[in-house]
Amino acid sequence: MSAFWCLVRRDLRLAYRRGGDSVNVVIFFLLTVTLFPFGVGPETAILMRIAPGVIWVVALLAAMLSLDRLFRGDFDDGSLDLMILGPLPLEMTVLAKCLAHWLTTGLPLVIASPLLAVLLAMDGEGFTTLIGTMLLGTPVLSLIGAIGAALTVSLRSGGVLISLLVLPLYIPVLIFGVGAVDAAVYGLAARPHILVLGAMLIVALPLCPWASAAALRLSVE
Amino acid sequence: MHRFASPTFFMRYSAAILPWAVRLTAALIAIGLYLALFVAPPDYQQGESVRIMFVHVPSAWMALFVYTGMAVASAMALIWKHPLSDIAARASAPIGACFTFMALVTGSLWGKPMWGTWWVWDARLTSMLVLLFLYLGYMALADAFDDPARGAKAAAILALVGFVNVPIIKFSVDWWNTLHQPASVVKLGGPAIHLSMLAPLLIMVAGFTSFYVAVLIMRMRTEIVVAKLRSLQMARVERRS
Amino acid sequence: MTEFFNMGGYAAFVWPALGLTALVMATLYIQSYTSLRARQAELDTLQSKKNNEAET
Repeated sequence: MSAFWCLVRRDLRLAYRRGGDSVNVVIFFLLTVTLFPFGVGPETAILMRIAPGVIWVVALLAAMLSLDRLFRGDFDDGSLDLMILGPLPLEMTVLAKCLAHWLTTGLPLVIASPLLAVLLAMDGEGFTTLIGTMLLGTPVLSLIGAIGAALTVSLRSGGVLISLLVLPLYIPVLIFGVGAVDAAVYGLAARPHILVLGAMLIVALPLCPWASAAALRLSVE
Repeated sequence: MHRFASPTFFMRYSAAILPWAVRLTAALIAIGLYLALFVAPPDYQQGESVRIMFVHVPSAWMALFVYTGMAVASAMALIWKHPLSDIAARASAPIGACFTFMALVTGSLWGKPMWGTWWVWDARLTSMLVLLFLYLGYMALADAFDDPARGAKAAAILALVGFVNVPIIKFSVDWWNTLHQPASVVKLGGPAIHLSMLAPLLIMVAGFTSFYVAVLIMRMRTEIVVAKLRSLQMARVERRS
Repeated sequence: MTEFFNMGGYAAFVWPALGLTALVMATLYIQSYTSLRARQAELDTLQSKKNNEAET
């Protein structure tokens, strides 16, 4: 187990040394959401209606843009080969890296989301649900994204391809994430949506690392 | 099983099957079209536009059937390392993508007179759209690798991940759709289907399946020939150097 | 006859739908066929070259 946390700490330290990553993700998040009022007009009623959807979609995109980083650094400098041969099962390695990725990407997004909800005039009812669903959903995004990152890590221009592979798989998370917040805003039951999101997280936790590990072994052959 | 696994054996028996598959396709589609256009009655609600159903529904079924076939072939390639499997999966993808595209466009053309707009975010059409992206992603991934064998294996993993997700996506899109469009549920094809419509529909489905088999065989043969070409060319380069 | 082509007023939808289906399927078939023939021809030329070189 300590090997697991060692790996998480290592990835966090690397991300911290690289500096800009988490900050860039949050800035992208803020900037892109800010574009929407320019696009659709500042009318509160419209912004309020689209707020949950916009925040979720942009969070999704922000998460996706950071996926290439997940394995590429280790692939380029050979650490990935060592990880595959190492004491920790590759699936656990992937899980550790996903956790670190979420801590540096997903968690900042979750923390930034209330600010954006205010910017888009989202109704107060939705705030806690937004944070809750993003807490459940962003790890799933990291996990599913890891599969895409693992499949493309050995390719030169993997970045754009990742989006094509991963976005269709993100759609269910998006649907239920936004569904929950919309339900909360309109005073309906958000619980079914949140339960489905939770179920997705529980299912993704074992399955995504498994698929990612298979893809990684393939990539370093 | 192993005898059927060798590409050489495949090349021989597929050469025999191919002309029959082509003839069967032509016959089935000709009969199906005749029945669909001249024998089947116009629909009570939708009039003559229901004729589109005879190409839309088979396309949609084939889109899903081919993806299932790709997933099965991918599983066989990854688990049993069957040599023909990843060739079959890669060859199937463009065919499935075409069927999906056809399903979307014919669905749109069928929907316009029924719903008044060219596109409606109806659960089934939306799921078809996502399926198209799954196909395109698969094709992009398989082509992105210099080594086609590696590309096929990576794409195989993607196909299985996508296949597991197809019911999840379908369920989510259904949910999303009922949330946003509670009232107007239009059932494409009407309530129950009469034999005079069912027969041409099933014949068209059979014809499309036979078409898939024929085109699949051609594309698999092409892949095997290309593999031979590549190894011959590499051998020549090695000998020269 | 014209009634058939008119498709009860839905002609603008039915015929393009059928036409597009035919077009896509025909294109797919023709592309697969020509590609197979081209690659097979390449292979034959390359193999006959190899045989000639082996003989010399």
